Amino acid sequence: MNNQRIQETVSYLEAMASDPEATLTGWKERTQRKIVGLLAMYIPEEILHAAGILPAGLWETSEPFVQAYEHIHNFTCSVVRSAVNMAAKGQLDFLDGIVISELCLTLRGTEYILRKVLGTTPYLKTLYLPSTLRVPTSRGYTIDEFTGFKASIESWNKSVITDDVLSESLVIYNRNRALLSELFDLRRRNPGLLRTREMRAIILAGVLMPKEEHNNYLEGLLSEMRGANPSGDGRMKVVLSGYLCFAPPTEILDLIEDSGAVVADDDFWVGRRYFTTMTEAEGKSPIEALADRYLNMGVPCPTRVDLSSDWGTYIIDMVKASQALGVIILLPKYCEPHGVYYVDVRRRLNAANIPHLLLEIDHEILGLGQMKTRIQAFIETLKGG
Amino acid sequence: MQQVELNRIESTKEVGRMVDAYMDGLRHARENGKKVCWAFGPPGVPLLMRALDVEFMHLASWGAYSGARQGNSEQLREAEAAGFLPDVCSYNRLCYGLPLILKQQKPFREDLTIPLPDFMYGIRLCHTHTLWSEAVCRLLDVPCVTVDIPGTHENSQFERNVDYVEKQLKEVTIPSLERLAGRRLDYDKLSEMLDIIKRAAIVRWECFQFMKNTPAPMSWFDSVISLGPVMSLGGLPGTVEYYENLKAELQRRVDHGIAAVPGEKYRLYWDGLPCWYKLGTLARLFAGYKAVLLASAYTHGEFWRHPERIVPDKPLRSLAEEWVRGTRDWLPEHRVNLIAELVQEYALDGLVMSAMRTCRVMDIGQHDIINEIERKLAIPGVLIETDPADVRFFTEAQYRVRLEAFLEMIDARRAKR
Repeated sequence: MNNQRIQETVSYLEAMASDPEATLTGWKERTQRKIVGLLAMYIPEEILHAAGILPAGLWETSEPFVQAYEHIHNFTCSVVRSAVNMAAKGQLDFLDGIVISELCLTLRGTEYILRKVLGTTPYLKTLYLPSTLRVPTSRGYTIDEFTGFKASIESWNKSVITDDVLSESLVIYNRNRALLSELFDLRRRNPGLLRTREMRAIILAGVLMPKEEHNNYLEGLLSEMRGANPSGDGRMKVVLSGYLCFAPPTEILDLIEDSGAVVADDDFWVGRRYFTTMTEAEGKSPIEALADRYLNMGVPCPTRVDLSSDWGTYIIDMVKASQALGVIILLPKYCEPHGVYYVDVRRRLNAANIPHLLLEIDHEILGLGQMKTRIQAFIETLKGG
Repeated sequence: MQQVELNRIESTKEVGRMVDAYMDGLRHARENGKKVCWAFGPPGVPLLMRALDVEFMHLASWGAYSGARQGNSEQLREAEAAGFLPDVCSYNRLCYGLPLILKQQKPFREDLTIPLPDFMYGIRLCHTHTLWSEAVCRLLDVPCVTVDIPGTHENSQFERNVDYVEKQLKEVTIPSLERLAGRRLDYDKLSEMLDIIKRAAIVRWECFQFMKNTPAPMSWFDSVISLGPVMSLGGLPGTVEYYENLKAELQRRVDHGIAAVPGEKYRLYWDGLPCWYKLGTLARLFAGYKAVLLASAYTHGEFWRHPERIVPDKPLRSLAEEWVRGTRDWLPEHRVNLIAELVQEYALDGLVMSAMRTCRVMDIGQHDIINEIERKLAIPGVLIETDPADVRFFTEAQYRVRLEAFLEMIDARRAKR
């Protein structure tokens, strides 16, 4: 295992992920191609990719929110506050468009605000993804919605997306998922192989560049990492859960890992949630395949309704598979879907006697010292376990 | 602030009597051999329940019922003890705390005790409706039926979304509800009740026309209390008569020059849900400033905005259209147009926008709605923090300060004209 090559690649990807605006504007200048920002989860990126457009996950600004509050309340999730703040400051002007997935009430009202702020953004669209996953009527609507989205992109971009080209995009994205899955499995067997902030950066970089390029970086990393022997990290193994729609702050991830814990797995959006479910394209059109991927998502989502799956059980299985001692739940402040589902997750973890800690995370992290104390205390209890 | 003079409507007392009768039926459901459903969603849900002969608690009405009886605190505390964060929708917390208390058979107020459900029914007018339905299902281990309602951002998608909701009702929802209720849905009864609601809603809109008078004979607070007959009491005998009596009372008031707020000086719009636990307090507070609230997206955008479009012989299509339209009209890009209409129709002087601390159904976009209305109609707006069910997020002192400043702004603008 060539640690230097691994570190060079990871550092490069971390640099890209730490300055999304620079990464994307640089790419746009080099390629003269379009970039469409994605706000929130489950948007079928492959459709944009097939059109030659770069789908870029909207990042959380590092700046304090100021201009956002001319348009939105401070008791709104930071993902949307961030998008509004950046839009109001002109920091999203280089994007050719933004697509929003209407997963919650906050996202439902966001298009109106962004239209007011951005005015002349060429493309702004909200996709409605049926919330009740496993009923037959949801499939028809999802296929219809994705078909309409594809037609809308074709019209705007003045180009046709053929099924063949779209199928190729599905293959590239599946390859990306398989590589990320392998990386996460390696980390689970060998916690400490990479820090969680590094895992985060690797995935984030992937939504700031074409997937083909990301696949190359991942293949390079994995070729160095495969065959690494599990090195028995003496720290307390934990899994992390939650943090929908965006990436958790690196300060919190560092706090956790500098307090005596090592992270064996996570189900973050910028984590397993992003890549767990493959697109099964056999015997169906690419749009049908994308719809089925969405409806059969592998990580239960609190924004969706699906009584055939259970997030608490999923997390417990994650704990068992990684032989972790506990769970740290990262909940973005004011995220209502997560706030609702957390209650059941908590109940199930308690019933399974799995120690857990809830951290509510806001854009401005107040009380970092207090949070550190809570994390340390939690890890101490795991030691006593 | 001046002395409070407030003429409350007399007819609204009938709502309390009708609600008591309905709650009595719910409380004796099991004795009467009936199943119990807890339902969350838009108007029309009670019709489906009645057509299935199922007793139900319509949880949007629970916010009103429990709030008016100052019964929320214990339920909210119970939900938070279970892990709910106070930032989560207070209706959601209320309606999770309730089954927790009932399930554990903790001592609880008799007037707030209702039977636990055999199944849940959640319609996604607001996303929280389905999230909460699922949460209570997991808690009580009972089945849950949900209906998706897409947000219609572009009007070109309206019919498609109505088709989708109707399809869900036909292919998934009603078969599931029939299985759970143990009986077929009585479509004749459903059509009859829809006809009643259509007639009731038409008279209800005739009552609203009186509020265009200056001074207005009724305030928004009384029109909010008058929602019951088209909401949880929808389709019942006596509901058309309720609005006919209300209309007669309003006519008498107009004939005798009786204003809801004598000396009416400011006519206002309310954005957001009512603060059910503070209706009386707020009614007196506004009246003290000679301010009368007249219209809201809640009373005028939801609850059968276009009753003439109801086709009783096509009940599922009519319900689907009402649900998609109601959801659409609360989206900020559509609500701003509704508000502009209401400002002009009711000759309103300003917008009182409730920044609901835990209810996100109308919060998003309020700032830009104020700006847009100001630009188009030169009418100002103010944001004042409240909450539909959590009294901890309502401060009377702060409310007064913000409202007073706002009314002074209106005075200043008038002086300039």
